[in-house]
Amino acid sequence: MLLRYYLLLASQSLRQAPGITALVVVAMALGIGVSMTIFSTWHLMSADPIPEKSKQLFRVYIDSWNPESPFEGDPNKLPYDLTFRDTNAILGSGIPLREVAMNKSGFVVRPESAEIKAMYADALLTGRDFFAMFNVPFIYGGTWSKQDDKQASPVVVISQSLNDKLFAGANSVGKTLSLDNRSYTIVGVRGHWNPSLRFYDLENDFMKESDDIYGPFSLFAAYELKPNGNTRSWKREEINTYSDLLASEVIWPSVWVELVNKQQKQAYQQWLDAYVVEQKKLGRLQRPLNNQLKNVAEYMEYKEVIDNDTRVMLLIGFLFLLVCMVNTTGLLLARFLGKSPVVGIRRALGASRGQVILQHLVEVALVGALGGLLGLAMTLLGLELIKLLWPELQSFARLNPGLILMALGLSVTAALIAGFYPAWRVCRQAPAFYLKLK
Amino acid sequence: MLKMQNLRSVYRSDLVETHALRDVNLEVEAGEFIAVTGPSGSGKTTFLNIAGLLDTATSGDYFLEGQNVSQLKDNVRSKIRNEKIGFIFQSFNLIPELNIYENIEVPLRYRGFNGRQRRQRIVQAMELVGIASRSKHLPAQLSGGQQQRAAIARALSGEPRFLLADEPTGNLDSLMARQVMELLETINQQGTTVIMVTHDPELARRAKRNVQLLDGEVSDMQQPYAASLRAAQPPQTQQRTSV
Ligand SMILES: Nc1ncnc2c1ncn2[C@@H]1O[C@H](COP(=O)(O)OP(=O)(O)OP(=O)(O)O)[C@@H](O)[C@H]1O
Ligand SMILES: [Mg+2]
Repeated sequence: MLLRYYLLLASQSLRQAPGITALVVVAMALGIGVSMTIFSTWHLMSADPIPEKSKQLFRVYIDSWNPESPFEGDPNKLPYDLTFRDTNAILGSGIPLREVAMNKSGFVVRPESAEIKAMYADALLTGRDFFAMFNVPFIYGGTWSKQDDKQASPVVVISQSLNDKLFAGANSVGKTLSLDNRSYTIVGVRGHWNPSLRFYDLENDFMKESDDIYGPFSLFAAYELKPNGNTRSWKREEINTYSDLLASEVIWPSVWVELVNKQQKQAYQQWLDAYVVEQKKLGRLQRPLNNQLKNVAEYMEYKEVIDNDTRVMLLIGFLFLLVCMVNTTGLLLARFLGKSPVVGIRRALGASRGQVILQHLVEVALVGALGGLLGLAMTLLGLELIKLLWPELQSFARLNPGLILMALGLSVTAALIAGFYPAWRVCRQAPAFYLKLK
Repeated sequence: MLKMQNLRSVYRSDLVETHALRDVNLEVEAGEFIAVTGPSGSGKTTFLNIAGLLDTATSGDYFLEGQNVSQLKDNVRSKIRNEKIGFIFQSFNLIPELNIYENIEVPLRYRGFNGRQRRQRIVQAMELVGIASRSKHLPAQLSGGQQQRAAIARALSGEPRFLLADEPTGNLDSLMARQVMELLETINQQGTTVIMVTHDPELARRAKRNVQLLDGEVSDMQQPYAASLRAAQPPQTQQRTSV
C-alpha cells in the first residue's frame, strides 16, 4: 500500500525537478545505450547459432601437418582443414548419423532470359545431408540423392534470393541453370536461412551471408572445379594437374559429422584414430596422434569468433555505464540532500529510516526505467551506427525481446545501485538534524 | 506519563563541545499543559526534539508512558512518533509541494490507514482548526495563521497523546497567536498533553505549568500540575530539579 504512495511521490518529485530528472535520465540512457549496443552485438555473435543440435555436430580435425613443426608453429593448433585424401577416406565409416564434406566454390550464372545479366554466385559444394544436418529449410523440392553424390551429378539447390532473381520466385525445380557454361538441374530451392554467422565454415569470411548455390562435393573432382578459400600445405610438392592436387598434402576441404550420443562419438573417435594409425604405417601423418572432434561451440571458440578486441570493447562499454552511474549518484545526492528538510518533516510525522530509503529508491527505480526506455532508443541508434561502420556485423546489430528486457532491467538495477547511497545519506542523521536545515 | 532522568545532550564538533542540556530531570503528567521558556540557546528545542524522539540524548533515561525509549530502534521510535506524538513548529514545516489535504494525510499514510479512514480524519481535523475550505490550497497560498492551523490539523489527525509545539506562535501576529493558543487550549482540554516552547510571557502564563530552561538546565519550575493530587506519594517520585 505504501509502495503506491511512494510511486505517487516519485512521479511528483520527478515532475517537480524536470531539469535534474532529465539529466539523470540522460546519464542513465547514455550508459545503457553504449553498453547495450556493444553487449547486444557481442551477445548475438557469441550466441549458439543452432542450439537444438550444436552439441551433436562436430567438425573433424586431423593433424596432417609437417612432422618437423606444428601448424602455424603452435603446438596447440591443428590444421584448419583436411586433405582431399583424408576427406574421402573418412567419409563412409558408417558411424555418424550424418556426415558431409564441404568447401566453397563459385560460379558465373548465365540466366536464360537475356534481360537478366550474368552474375557471380558463391557456392558451397557439400553432401546431400548438409541441409538435414544444419536444419536448412526448403521452399521447393529438396536435396539431391545419394546417387547424385556418388556420381557427381550436375544438380544444384539454389537460394530463395537467387530463385527470386532468376525465376521471379516461381518453383524452379526441374529447370536447368547454366553455371560456368555447364548445365545443371535445379532440385531444390532453399528457404530463408540466415544464421547469424556461417558457423559451419568459419575459415573464410564468416560474416558473409549464406551461399546462393549448393551442389555435390563430388563435383570438385568430376569437373575439376576451383576450391575457393584457403588452400595450404606444409610440403613442397609438384602440383601440375588437378589429380596432383587431390593426391597432395594440401588442405582445403572440411568434414562435419553428426554424432547423436557419447557412445557414437567415442566410436567415431576410435575409428578416426585407427585410420590415422594405419596411415602412419604408410608413412603419412607422422605427427603425434591428435584427432579432434569440435562441436559448434568449441569450433567457434577455437576460431575466436569473439576475439580479445571485442571483449575489450565490452569491458569499455560497461565501464562507461559505471561512469554514468557515478554521475547519477552525484546528481541524485544533490537532489535528495536539497530536499532533505522535507525528509525531516516526513521522519517527524512517523516515517522510519527504512521507509524513507524505500521511498527514494522507488523514485530512483522510476528514473532508471525512464533511462532504460531512452537507453533502448539510444541502443537502436548505436546499432545503426555499428551497421554503418561495420556492414559485416549486419546480422548481429539488432535487438531481441530478451535484450530489450535486459536493457530495462540493467537500467533499473544500475540506477538502484547508483541511488542507494544518496537514499541512505538523506536519512543518516536523526530527524531533528534535517528539520534545522532551512 | 513522560519522565526524564539525568538527561544530557552534548553536540560535538571537531573544535567545540556544546552542552545543550545538562542533567535535566522532569516528569509530566497526562493532561498537563506545559510552557517551556528560556533565553535563546538555552536548549528548549533540543529538549523538545528529545521529548519527541526526533533526537537522542547523549546520556540519561527517558520514559514515555512507562517505556524506556532512549535505546529503541529507529523503526520503533518512528512508530511512536507516528502514533503518539504530534509536532507543531515555529515555521509550520508544511511540505511545500503538497496541498493542505495531502499534508495532513502524510502521517496517516505512514499509519497505514486506507483512503476512507484518512479522508474521515483529515476532514475532521480541518474542521476542528477551521480550514476546511482550504484543502486544495498549497501552503504558500495560505496566510501564516492558516498554515499553522493546517500544521496543527496535521499534528492532530492521528489523535496523538502528546502535542509538542516549538514556538508555534513565533511567526504569527498577536491576533493569530491568540487564536492558535486558544486552539491548543481546546485540544488540551480534550485530554491531549501539550508541551509548548514559547518566548511570549503572556502565553506562558496561560499554561497550567511553566518550566524554565537556563543554559541547559531546568532552573525554575512552578508547582507541578498534579503534585497537589499526589502529596502523599514517596519523595522519589516527586519532580525535583537537580542542579
Ligand atoms: N546541531 C547542533 N550542533 C551544535 N550545537 C547545537 C546544535 N543544535 C543546537 N546547538 C546548540 O545547543 C544549544 C541549545 O540549542 P537549542 O536550539 O536547543 O536552543 P533554543 O533554546 O531552542 O534556542 P532558540 O530560543 O533560539 O530557539 C545552543 O547553544 C546551540 O548553539
Ligand atoms: Mg529553539
